[in-house]
Amino acid sequence: MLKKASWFACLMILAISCLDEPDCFRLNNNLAGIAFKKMLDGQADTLALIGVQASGTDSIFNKYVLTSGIYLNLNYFTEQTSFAIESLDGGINQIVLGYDVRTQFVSEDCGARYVLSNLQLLSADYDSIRLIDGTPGASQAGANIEVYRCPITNRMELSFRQLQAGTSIASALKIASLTNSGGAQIHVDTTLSSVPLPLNPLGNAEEFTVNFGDLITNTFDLTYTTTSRTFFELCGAQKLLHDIKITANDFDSLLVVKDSIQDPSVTNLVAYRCPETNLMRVYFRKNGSPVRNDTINVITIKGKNDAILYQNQKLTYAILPLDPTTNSSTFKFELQGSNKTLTVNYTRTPQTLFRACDTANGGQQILFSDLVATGDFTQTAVVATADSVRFPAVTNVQIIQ
Amino acid sequence: MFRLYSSIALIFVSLSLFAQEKKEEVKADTVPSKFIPTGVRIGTDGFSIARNFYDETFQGWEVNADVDFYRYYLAVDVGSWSRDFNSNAGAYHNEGNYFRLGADVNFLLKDPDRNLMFFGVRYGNAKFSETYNEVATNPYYGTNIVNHSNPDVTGRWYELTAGIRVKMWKFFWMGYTGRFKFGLKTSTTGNMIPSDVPGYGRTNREETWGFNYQLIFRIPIRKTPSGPLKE
Repeated sequence: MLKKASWFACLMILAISCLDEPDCFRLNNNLAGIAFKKMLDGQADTLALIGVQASGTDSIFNKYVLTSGIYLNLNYFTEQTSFAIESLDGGINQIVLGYDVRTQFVSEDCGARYVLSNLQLLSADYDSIRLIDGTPGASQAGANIEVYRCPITNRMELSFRQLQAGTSIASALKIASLTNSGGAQIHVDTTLSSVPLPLNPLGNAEEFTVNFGDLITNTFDLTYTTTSRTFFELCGAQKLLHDIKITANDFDSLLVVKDSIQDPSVTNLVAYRCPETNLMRVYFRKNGSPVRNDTINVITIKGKNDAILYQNQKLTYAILPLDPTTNSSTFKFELQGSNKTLTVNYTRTPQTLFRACDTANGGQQILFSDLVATGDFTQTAVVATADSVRFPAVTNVQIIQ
Repeated sequence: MFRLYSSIALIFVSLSLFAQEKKEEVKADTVPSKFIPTGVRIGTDGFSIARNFYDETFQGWEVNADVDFYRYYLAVDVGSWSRDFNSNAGAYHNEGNYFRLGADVNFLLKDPDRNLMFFGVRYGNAKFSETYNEVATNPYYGTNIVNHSNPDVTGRWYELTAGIRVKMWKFFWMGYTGRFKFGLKTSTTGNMIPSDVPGYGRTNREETWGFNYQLIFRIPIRKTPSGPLKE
């Protein structure tokens, strides 16, 4: 009997380890997905969102993003939530969603979960909207609502390209802000190679200011013609914009490549940047064989007229601008524990790389060659195969501190 | 109507005559039918009792009973349990009663002590109530006090069971039962989804396992034939 009893006790201990304790299974399903689509072809539509605000919270979601879908965080303390969705082209649209909420206790650790169902569109002021799935999701997967928009007839695109080596390449530029003539911020703190810009369909002229940061700002003025047309009865008569012309600008080069608006939008304007032909790269090396890169603590590096080029940085290399007005440039290095000077002599040759750059430059661009570098560093030498400045910059000078 | 009553009377008379004939036949045979019960076993789930001491969220008990019909057993379980979960954010309370009704088949026919190794089925039913109070926090919408209750909820499920019963000493038996529970369905409730069903467990699981550890006393009804069961 004792043997049987002990055997049973072991089985009981084993059973204790299989207690019916819950896991934290997936919690709330309070995400309603919205897919933005074009009425024209039913395909996904990319919106330039300024932000989404929900009733009951000060939080702003999806700030300054380009997206074809968003997820709305439904308030599970109530049975409806209102959203204001602000976009670049559509202004502010309101949408009110209703739903049923049920609560279920999960565990001491997890608390409760909120199960939302029976999603309903209580009101919306989009061109066309429909509910396709009445159950909100627990994660960002799948759409519950599809929003269709009428054709956009006033959105143009400005692309940025960098001129180099006889051709041009797309160039993603950091944009601190982009505003229109009314002062409205269209883009803020973003890096893009192409930006969508809305033209005023009620007028026939617009001005834009692009702030690239580092005190670089460019402005351009446009004029265009508008024609009234009905694409869809639901959308009513719309203004079609065409005959876009540039009336003023201060880019290196700005061209119209397509003078009418399309949906989806295509590049209408291209802004070219001329190559910077005076940028020399100086590499810091360690003494020894083989030669290795060195990192030095820079307090300041100053150029012409003591303009500060670098300040309080650890550098492996520095890109320094040569003075196009003289045959020699001097740079002052303030390092930890010492001050050094680097002088570079060179030959200047005016040349037309791109005619547009001649215009922007007020004359031909200057090419720098036959570099000779001297200084009070331990060793200063011009790279034998790179005694001319190129664009993009290459290593022209090596310094051993 | 007279014809109907007279027909019914005729049927009962003929049945009684048949019974008398049958009785006469039985009188000639003195061996009792093997399907007549030999005893009733009543026990309790030791696992539930122990859990009251080590699991501070659980309070409950379960009583089991079965009666044998040769190798077949009619089994019934009755129990009660309550669950209490408390945290800084909220408190959940659940209490109710349940029963299970079913049958087992013994596959250990040659055991001289008539120990059992059985498989069986059960139908389970519970009636319970639950409440939940919480100070809920949403990262965007702030906090809210949540109070929910389900006063009268019923649930039903099915089980496949397997286990053993072993005679330890005279009338004292011990055994365990493993349960595969499935097919849970609860009655319609308001804003609160049931979390826990007494006798079944958590509602988020479509199937789940259970385990009981029984301490049983057998009450004999008639003298048990000696030796293993005859097939």
